[in-house]
Amino acid sequence: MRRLGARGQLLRQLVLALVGVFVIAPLWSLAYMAFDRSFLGRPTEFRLLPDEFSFELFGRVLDRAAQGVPFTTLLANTLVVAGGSALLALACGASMAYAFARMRFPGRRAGLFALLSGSLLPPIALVLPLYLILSVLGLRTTRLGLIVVYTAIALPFGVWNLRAAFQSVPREVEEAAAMDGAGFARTFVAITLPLAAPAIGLAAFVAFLGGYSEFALGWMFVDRADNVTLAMGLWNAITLAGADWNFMAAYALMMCAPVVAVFIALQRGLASGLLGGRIDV
Amino acid sequence: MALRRARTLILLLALLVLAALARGVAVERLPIDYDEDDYLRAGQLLAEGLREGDLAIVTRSNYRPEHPPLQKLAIALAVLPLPPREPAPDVGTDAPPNADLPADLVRAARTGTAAFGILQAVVLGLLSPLAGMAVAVNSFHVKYTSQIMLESLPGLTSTLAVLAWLRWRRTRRRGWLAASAIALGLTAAGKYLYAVVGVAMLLDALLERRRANGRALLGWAALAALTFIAADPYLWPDPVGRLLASVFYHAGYAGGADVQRANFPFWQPFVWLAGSVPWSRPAFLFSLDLLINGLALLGLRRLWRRYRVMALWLAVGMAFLLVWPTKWPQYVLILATPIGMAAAEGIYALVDMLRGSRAPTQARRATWREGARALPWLLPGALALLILALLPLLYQLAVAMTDLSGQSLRDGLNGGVLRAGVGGWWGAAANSPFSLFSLQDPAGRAIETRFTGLRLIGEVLSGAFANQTWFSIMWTASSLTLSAVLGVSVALILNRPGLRYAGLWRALFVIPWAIPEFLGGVAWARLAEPGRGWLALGLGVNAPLGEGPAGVFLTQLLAGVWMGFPILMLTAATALKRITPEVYDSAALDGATGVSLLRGITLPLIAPLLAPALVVRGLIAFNQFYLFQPIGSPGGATTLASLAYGLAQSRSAPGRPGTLFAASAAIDVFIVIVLLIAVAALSRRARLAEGVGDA
Repeated sequence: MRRLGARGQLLRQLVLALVGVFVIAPLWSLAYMAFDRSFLGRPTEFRLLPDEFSFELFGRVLDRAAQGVPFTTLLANTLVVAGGSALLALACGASMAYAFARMRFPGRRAGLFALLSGSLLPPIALVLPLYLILSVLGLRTTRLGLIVVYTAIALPFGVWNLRAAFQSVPREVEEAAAMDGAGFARTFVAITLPLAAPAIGLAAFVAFLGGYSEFALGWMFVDRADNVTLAMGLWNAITLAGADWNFMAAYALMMCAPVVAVFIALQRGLASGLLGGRIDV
Repeated sequence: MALRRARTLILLLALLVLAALARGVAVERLPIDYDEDDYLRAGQLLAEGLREGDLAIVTRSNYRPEHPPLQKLAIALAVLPLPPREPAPDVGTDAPPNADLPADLVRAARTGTAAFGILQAVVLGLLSPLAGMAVAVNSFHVKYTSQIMLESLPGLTSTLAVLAWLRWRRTRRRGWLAASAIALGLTAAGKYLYAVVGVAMLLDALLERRRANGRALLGWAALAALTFIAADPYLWPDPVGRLLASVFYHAGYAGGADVQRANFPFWQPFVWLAGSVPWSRPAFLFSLDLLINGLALLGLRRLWRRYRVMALWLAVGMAFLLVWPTKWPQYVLILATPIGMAAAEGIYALVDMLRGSRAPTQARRATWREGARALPWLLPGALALLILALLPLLYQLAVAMTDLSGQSLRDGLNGGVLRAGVGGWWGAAANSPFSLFSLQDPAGRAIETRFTGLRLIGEVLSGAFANQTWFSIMWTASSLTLSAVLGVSVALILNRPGLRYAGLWRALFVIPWAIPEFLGGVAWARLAEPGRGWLALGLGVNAPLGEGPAGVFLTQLLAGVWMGFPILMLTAATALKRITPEVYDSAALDGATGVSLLRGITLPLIAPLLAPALVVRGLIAFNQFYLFQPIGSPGGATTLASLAYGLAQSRSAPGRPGTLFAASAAIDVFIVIVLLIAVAALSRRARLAEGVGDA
């Protein structure tokens, strides 16, 4: 391929800058407000930068994020619920995903099809049946109940992504282990799992992100302010409080920042986890 | 030979009975609609003159002169044998339907109109019986050819024009070309809109690039124009003035109050096609439109190969309907014939697909021994899926067969759903009047759960939520396409060796993926809200993001692409890394550059890795929901999944009743059916099995 000349370089950088504006503009239109205490309620003027720079709003969010509950409580709830559901989904699905990735059993195609059909259901469809199941178990309004709800959402795609993760491990490596006398289970634990770790991490992160940002179903189950998650609290701030825009912006920023940081740190590893998801039903 | 002829005859006879039955019922049962009084009056005025032997009346009288008079003449002939009556009163086009029209006149005029509609189906049946069937049961066709409207005659003549055209293309006999021209002229004299078929024929001839066509086409056009003038006697006294007046009327009407008030988005014609006629449902024996139009979608490629003029007709007609501001439901009738043909081809395509041999994807045969070994590995996941995915699906299926609502929730959760939804099949529970077409109807709600069977799912299928059905399709297709284009383009640019700051850009571009979906929606709503959003305040104008369904769709789409492109960019980037430089070197030796390199080498090589990601993103996009909450969705511009959520919500909004769990469940079941079909079709066509790993 030809070397990239100065003009080509400039042209490409310009295009990328354009995409960069597209990516940043909506975020910035929200984020700058978090540092601005020059107005109350809804902004009525255009600003590129905060007028009266301040960190005060973040303090307010930390103190009473939603319905008087501090941010840290909500964060803890979120980590428990989103993390718990991601782990539960992967723990339930890992061995199944491996079987789908590596074994040839009768009904495999039908099984994949069924798996996929589980992911076709819109989340709202889970409300009534899970409401029933969780009521019977007495878990309906608890954080554990919410973990179950989010696990149901995360499971089908979780298995799907895990299967992709296992497929990204070269078969030859496993065969070599088998030649050395390792059994199927041993190969899985000692060889495949570590090799697929980055991709598994990605699948876990995607599942975690689902629970991290879910609010609509959450509000149908939780009825105590202590059990609310970050996303649910933010949704409340948007719809009920409505008017308090810079508070909402500070909240949103505090909610996004850690995830984005993790994401950027991991982004080199992300790509390798994306491959191999095949639909051969 | 004789046997074949007999078979054709029987088929046509069956078609005749089918089309006549559907329209006969509609003629009797349809209530009087807008405009029917106008065209009845037009026919009556003409009939008055004809009755007195005043043939010249046709050059003087053309009530509602914006439309040419041919079909009005047909209406006049239909009411001529009946005793004369006072003509229907002269009122504006926006006047409410006149329910007091004399029943015998209405029946006669409607029957006369319907005859042409029936003929259209039968005539098309000569070319393709399946296509004829599709027109025969097309509910919009049934409605607007069974009422006193101006659609049936031009519908018939436009079909005749194309049939003659196809004959000419095959035989090259001038007679057929002349027949086509005459039919086209009559079409224009029936209703201008139907003349788009002429453009399709013209394009068909141009695409053929046959030199001898030139003169023949000139003659064809001249003959069509002559026929038009001959068949429009109202033009004779003042051809130019009256013609221009009628044409300018439509331009004015398109920008007028009637059209503004309806406020349909540009994609409204597709909404009409995403379901059956939603009004006066008892008048229709069939509501198969969504199914037939889905088949038509499947048959487009075959249609293009086998009947290009029909495909062009569909394309030109649709393009016109999308652009033209007036979007009344009867306008989709100009597409009835080509859609019928496409649906027929779709059936053949489907048969081919089902017959087609399965690609041998599995190198080794599955054995039961291996099955036994796999069982313990499958068990935990299978159990979890059973409880958390399959059970909810089955429960939703049961709910969709009841009328469960907020009122009956207590009974429903205490076993009512199973009693009514499952037990109903054995007659254990009473039937419910609940219907998706009348969500506000209190009769549909009761304290105890009642049985509705397959009715609700059937009603979704027949277009109870045509708005959202179409929106889901449009949303999935457009957001996915744009995300893929942007993602792959950015990946290609970043992949260029020697590019600076590539890592930095990539880190920036993945950010939207990590932002919770509804927060991204909030950000875009804040940026793009008309009037008081960041852009509107900064630029002082709303453009290009506006209000109304179409304006908000742009914001939704930008937000959807914003969230969707990073993962596709990463996937494409990873796939690009796997292409070795040698591939490009050898391609360069063969002289491939730029676009041909991209189309011939790069895209085919990354496609197998991109395809699964696209399918998964497509499934997610079809069910997208959180995004629409903050941005809003005026005029039903939202996905079915959002609608299902809205209907099940406890807080109901004006015009949107809440806690209708059965309606929500019916939508969920419909979504699963649609997506299952899509996945099955895609996995056969796109050969998604060719991935990496153990390939």
